Amino acid sequence: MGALRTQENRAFAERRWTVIAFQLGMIGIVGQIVVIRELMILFSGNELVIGITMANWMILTAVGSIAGRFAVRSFASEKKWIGLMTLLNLLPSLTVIGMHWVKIRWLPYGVDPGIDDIMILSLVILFPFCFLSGFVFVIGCAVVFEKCKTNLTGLIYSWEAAGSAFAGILFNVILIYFLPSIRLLAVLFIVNGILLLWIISSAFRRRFLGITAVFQIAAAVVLLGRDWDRILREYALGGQKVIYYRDTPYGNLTVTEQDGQRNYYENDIWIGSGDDVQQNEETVHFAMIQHPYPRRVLAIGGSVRGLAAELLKYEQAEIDYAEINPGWLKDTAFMHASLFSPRINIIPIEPRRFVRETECFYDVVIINLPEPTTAALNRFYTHEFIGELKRRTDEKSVIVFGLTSSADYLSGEKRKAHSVITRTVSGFFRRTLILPGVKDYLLASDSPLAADAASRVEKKIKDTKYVNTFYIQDDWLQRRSEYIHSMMDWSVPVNHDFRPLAYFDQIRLWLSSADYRAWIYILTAAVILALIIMNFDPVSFGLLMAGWTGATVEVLLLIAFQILFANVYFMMGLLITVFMAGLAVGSRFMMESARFRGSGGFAGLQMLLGAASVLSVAAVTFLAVWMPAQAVIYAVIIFLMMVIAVLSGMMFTVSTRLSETAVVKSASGLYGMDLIGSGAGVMVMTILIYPLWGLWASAGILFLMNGLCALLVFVYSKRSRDEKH
Amino acid sequence: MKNIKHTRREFMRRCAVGACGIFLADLFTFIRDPKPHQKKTEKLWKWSRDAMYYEKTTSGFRCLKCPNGCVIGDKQAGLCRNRVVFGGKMYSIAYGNPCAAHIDPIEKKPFYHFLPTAKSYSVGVAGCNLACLNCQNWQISQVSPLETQNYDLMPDALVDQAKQYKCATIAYTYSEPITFYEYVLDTSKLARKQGIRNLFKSNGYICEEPLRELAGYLDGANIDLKSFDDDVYRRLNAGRLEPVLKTLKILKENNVWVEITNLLIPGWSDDMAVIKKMCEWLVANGLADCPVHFSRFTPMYKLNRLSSTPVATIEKACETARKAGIQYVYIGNVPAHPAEQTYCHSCGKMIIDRRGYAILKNDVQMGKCRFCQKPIPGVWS
Repeated sequence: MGALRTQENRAFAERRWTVIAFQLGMIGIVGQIVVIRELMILFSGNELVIGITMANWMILTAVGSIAGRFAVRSFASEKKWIGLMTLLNLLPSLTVIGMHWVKIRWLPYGVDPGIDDIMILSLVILFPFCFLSGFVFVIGCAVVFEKCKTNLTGLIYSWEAAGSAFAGILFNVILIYFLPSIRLLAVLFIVNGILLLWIISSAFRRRFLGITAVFQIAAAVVLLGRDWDRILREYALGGQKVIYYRDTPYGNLTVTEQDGQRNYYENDIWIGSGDDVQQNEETVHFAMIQHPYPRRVLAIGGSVRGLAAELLKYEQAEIDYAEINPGWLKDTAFMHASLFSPRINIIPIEPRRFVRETECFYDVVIINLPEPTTAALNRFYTHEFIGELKRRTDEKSVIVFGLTSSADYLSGEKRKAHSVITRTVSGFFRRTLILPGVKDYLLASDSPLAADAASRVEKKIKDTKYVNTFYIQDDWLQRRSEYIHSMMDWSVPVNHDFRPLAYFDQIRLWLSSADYRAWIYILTAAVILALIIMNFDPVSFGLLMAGWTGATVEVLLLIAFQILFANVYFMMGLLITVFMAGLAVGSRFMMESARFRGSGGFAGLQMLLGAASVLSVAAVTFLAVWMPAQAVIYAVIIFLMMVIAVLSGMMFTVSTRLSETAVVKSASGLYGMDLIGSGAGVMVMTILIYPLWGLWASAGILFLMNGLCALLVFVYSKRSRDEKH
Repeated sequence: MKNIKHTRREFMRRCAVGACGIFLADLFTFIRDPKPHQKKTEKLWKWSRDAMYYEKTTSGFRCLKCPNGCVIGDKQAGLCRNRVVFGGKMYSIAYGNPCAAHIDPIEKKPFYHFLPTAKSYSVGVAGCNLACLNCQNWQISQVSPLETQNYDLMPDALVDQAKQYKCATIAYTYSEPITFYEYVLDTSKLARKQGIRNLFKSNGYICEEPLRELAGYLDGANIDLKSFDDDVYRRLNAGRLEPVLKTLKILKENNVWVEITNLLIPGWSDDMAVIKKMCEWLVANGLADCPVHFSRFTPMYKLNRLSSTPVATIEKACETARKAGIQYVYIGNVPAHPAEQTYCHSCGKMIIDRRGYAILKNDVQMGKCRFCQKPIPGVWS
């Protein structure tokens, strides 16, 4: 494998390699988005899952890239590189298909995974794809270097990022609207397959082409031959018959049928089954009887359970109905019959936006949502939202929230969770009352609230099945209500959009229900530490910090999107694509530019990155208060994402120049450090620092860490220069 | 430069060895002690009493109260979290300290053939000897009394409270009364002297000897028969089926009124073939007249990825039970379902018109059906 002899050969080979790098980026980005979205479904949709899976993703890719360094001798041939690419091309589809199987083998049927399970399962599920993609990157750099004896790591990196940006827009922004996950990955497989065959046909023997073509065609037939997305949903839901499934910007919706009962799932979480008499009656009547004449009602959530049927029992009531996922109100095929009443006005937009924009005033507002177990749900329990609601209500208006039932005992964690929400609500309404039932119903108003709900309902509504004095004894209800109220801690802080204490309380409650296996975290920390030590020098440490900052800000901006618009499920594709495009632009710019070349430039970029992270947080906080048009917020967040990514890309290219080691070692080391930093950063900042200290502290820490790193690089490079002299 | 590399490699190796050491040490602890929730307990307190039913072994103290048979070392707790060993003796730390105490209608337990509409002073102390994935009260059953906020309610005070609130019964419920056995036993003795009946809402996972002693003071028991499949018991509840079946037989032998609750969980315990087997076993063992309550599941605790049980599935289970010879079958957690009513097994007429916790009409007179005069099994006065 000598250097290429002629200039033409080299140009042709370079084109080939850039196509492969471009493909690597395409597979990486589409695989990442689709697999993480599917993992969000697999692991209950909590944003913490994004942090853990993205961190594991990056760490495993880093491990693959570092392993690539040790396997160069055996794999550094173009043929093997292409063979590995063919396998890599198929892995995203296999990962999505295999993840449900792995989960069912690992967890008992119907069990919600704990944090340990998420950690272990995501590592197992992501390992083949992530490891191989890191491995292939380094092998690619080695092949290219062997052929032309020039360090083209920066070139490969920038084409990889360009491929990510292109595929991100095509697949994750456009095609994702029309195709479910496996179909989308099948299209990706075919496009890449054709490109690989073109490369093979132009440079290799027919036998290799024939083998690869047969493999590609067989795999494409298997992927397209069956409706894998439906099969997977049915498999994940214990064999229930899936009668509807659809991806929406807010999550995946599935409707199943089981023994004549329709079950509704969002991201595979059961949200209701047809007519849920007990909960519907309590939610509606506990609130409606508090108002002397409820005429205008706003209901958010619970449409699939048939909540509207109970509301329609109040003949004078006109109801605006909204869902946190408006997808439930768009397809008439499975909407509850009661929603077709002329007294029901379906709200086709996201409810928080509706509350902000509407000019209606409401007598009763019913928030029938799960507790704030995600950042998206937390938006309906915050100071900001309740303030918006308050502006749409009057003195006699009543609002109700359903909190998880404290059943027979209020534990410390639950007490705190209830207290934070009650305290937040009581900041706007003079009176609060908690009525226990299937849930603990938190009622709030500026007028008196009554606890003798059952007898009051009987006077107003005749045909209730559950909320009546046969099932509910008012003295009992009052006693329990007083007990819960007496347990509230009024000294707790208020829940905010960007300081989501109620969400963090729910995470703590969730964690308290799971067993811990400390060894998982010790092992992960040990692997990260070992990888850092293996590659330690100030420049690569600086790059680690760049990865740390870039990925952390990326995830914090994703969470910000979720808090502001709840559509991270959809926007994740666009934002990660923008990030990858930014990396490509930054890296490409530095290859052409003469600026920021030395270690001083590297340190300067590092300082800029730290400042940009603080700026991002400041901008997001300002936008949340100001709330301009949605398009303006989108544009600002995308711009911030781009700035962070461009700076990270620039740093990568500068670092490859500064690195004095061999190409393969530099490629695997620097790429690995970038990814390890990203993984560790996401893990530490979004799972630990952000929940503990909030957004501003996270930004402050990022700024300080980057500043220290810049100083380290500067001092080290000065010393090296002095030593050389 | 070489020196630096060498030092770095050495450092790396030491780090790796250290990390492996920590990892292996932790793994070893994990393997040696497969019950990670067995926490060390540091103190005895006011609510500690000498435990009953245990023996000393070479490796610690073996608890003989339930079939888990925990061997407990010094300053450690059993699986139930409230039997601890201190200074060569075993103690219960769950004596007189319920974390939940409420007055409930007896139908809520559920007891449908035991003093209808009677009030029940209900108490529960933290702890449980099973670990059901779907536990409704996991925040009290899966923790120790040291971790909950408790009332101070010694047996005499508890009986006084029940009398004060005119409760005809005391129910030991919410968590698992087997784990606060000594408290239940002493309270039951006092309550019986005061004419208050004792009700036991339990998983029935108890050894024979303690059960026989307790049965002498119990008036009614509602036993959760979680499934009739031992494999399901092991995976869903961390228990075994056989001891629960034995409990049912012993309670019957000791003339304790027994009702059975069977929660139908989709994909776990809703197999009609298994339900049929369960009912046939009940009939064959003289328990055909014990009411069976088929309850609707709603997602709880760790098992919250499932849907609620379809009502049609519960109705099928009722039909299966009736065909197998169970005389009184009810449906729970489905408000206003016709299967809330009691129909005479002999003449088929409705004898108790029940709606929720209220009785609209009761045609059981002196323990007999008003229409056909056949005895209706239960405790009616």
